[in-house]
Amino acid sequence: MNKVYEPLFTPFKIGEVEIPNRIVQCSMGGTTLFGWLEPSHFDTEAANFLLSRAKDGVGLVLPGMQVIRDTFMRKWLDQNRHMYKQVKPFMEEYHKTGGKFFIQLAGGFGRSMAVTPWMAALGRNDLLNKLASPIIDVQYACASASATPNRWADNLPSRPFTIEEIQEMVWHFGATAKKLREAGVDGVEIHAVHEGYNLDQFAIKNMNYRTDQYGGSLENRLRFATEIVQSIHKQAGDDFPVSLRYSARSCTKGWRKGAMPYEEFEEFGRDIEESKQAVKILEAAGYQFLNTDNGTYDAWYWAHPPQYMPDNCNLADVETIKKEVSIPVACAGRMDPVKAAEEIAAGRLDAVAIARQNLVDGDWVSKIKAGKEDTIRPCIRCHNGCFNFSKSAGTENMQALGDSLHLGRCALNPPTMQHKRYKIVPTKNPKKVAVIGGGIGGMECCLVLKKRGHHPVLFEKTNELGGLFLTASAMTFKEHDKELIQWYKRELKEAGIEVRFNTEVNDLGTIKRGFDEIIVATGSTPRQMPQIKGFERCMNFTELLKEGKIADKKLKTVVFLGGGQSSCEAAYDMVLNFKKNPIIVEYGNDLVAAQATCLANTSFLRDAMEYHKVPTYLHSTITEIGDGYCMIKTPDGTFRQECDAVVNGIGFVPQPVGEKQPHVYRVGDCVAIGNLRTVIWRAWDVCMRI
Amino acid sequence: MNAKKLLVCAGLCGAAFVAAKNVDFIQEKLFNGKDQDEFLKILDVARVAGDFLMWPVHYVVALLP
Repeated sequence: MNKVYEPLFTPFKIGEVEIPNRIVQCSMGGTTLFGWLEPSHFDTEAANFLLSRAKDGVGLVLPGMQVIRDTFMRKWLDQNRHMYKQVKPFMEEYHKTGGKFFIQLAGGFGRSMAVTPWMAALGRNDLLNKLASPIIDVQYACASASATPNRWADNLPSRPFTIEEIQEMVWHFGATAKKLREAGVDGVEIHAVHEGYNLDQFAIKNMNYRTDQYGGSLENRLRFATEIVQSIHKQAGDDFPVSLRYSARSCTKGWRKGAMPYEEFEEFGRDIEESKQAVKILEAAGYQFLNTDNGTYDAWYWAHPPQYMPDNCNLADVETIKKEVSIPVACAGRMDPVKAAEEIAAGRLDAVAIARQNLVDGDWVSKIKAGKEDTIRPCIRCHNGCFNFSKSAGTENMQALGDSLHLGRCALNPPTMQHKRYKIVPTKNPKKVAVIGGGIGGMECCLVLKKRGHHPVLFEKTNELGGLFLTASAMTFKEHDKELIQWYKRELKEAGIEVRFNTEVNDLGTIKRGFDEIIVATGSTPRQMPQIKGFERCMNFTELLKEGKIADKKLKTVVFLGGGQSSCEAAYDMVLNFKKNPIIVEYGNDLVAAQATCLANTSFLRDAMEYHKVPTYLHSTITEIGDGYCMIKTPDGTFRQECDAVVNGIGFVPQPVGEKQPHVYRVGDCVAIGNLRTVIWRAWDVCMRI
Repeated sequence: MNAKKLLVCAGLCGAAFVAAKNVDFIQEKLFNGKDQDEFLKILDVARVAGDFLMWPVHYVVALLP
């Protein structure tokens, strides 16, 4: 092992429980031992995943947040006696790994509840809500400290919890913790005075207007959280460790408005000075570990930092908090293990909390121990598989139903949390397979086929691997995306897969004879709109980003036709690193209005465009592109905009080669334009069945 | 159709559903016999349907002592 990592592999204590090392797997929705959203039950898929993490060497694993009362069918967690009988043998197996396991118990979502359209409809109608309440009570699920606006749905204010409801919940936290302890669980983590969840809504002054014992002073606002830990220690024993998921700062400017990492602003939520007082109160109440980052649902990119946020974005604030308490503190949020080790060695931090990397590479801890950290598949923070709650102007949560039921999966690693659905089964009939297209889809196909025992040969028309992902990863802040391409190249070389560069296949007949099967992974091509006069003058993203025109000094003012993710990311790179003047013209009513792109990612881009004052024209289009100008048509009229270039940001269209026929399969964007998840999962769907 | 036949039908349908969802050999045959896109879409719908079918099962199991 590289010496820089050694501090990560020293033990520490939470209360009297010794954690074998400083690596904590943060809770991720969906990796929930007792089911996600559905009636609680022992979830074998989650159990398999969580156990695998312990076997890899994670010191403390926290499964996904478990609401203390089922959202559907509404049983309290401690009422499901049968489930705890299944936990006991699981914990015996778990403890053989040497790792420790805390279950995260959640006090609910409140105004952060990611309601879908039908849930919002129920919540707005008292009669419908009452009729549905034996199955789901949306008003209860969204209940909060006070009547505050829902993060997702317009016109769906949360109703205030009654004192009786609060105290009922507090009791059930204690009862559940007792059952968990009896089943062998090592501790619990309370969710959460963090990220703007329910307990955080009580804690934040601008979200809590109560005049009873749960509102007003800081002590009162933290009372819900402090009563929970006291209830747990009373019922489960005061030596049962209780951690708290905590946000040092809210980084929030207002309702649905977050702050950029470099922005000076007036804090709407919890600022660092109040936080320093809060953690003292929480420690005094009995919390023994603070698992900490920043943010709220209004500033979601702090709690779930996408590619655009800097590494270790929460570290400075977490270390400030650590100085105020004597209990151990972990930091989460794009944490670099090397930096974490350095901070732990210096005594400024006690543990590093890492979430998504555990989904992408199930051996990352072992690889570090073995000195093979350069073989770790990197997380690119896309949120496409793990966390794709999405929203744009005027919508509720647009997440697809299948995704709502199953979070905590991974775009890059299909077997994560789906180990029965996606698995490598050696073939009994090895075949020679031609894979056309050396993008992510083609490369993934080759790796899966090889693992199964087939003989893939990769045909790539250019002299480099990566396809359109080379363009998508070209932006300055996409260092992990670039690492991913290097990872694929390394894996292909390691697997001994033949790659034929500079070999374009336009006619499948030319290669059919040499191969048993053909996979077409030829990707897509930019969509064209010839009905726009001068459209042929448009620059495409490959020219702008991969070929480096973004750095051209002659390019100052650039108009993006289309306000999707690519346009907004390129515009962000332009303002942040190249001092250019981007302008965005979008036909729809919002930027990045796409299902399957996480709100953490899209809200960052929207907030960034606003902060950097990037002119953005919605409900607009371009009607003409000339030499040094374009005509922008907005709801208020059409005007001439001087510019150095117009970038085609209206999307892509599939570009398959050959017709559909037996023994020819299609993978990736040449089937339908998607994202890395659709590409990679489709690659597995096909290659598992060849 | 009497209750017994209905029960047998339901059982066979259920078995076919579980088999199609879980048995690799059957999936491979279906995949190669049908349009790939159509097959994968049907499989996705079947999975979500299966998830919802399990909800009452979880609820009932939770009532066990």
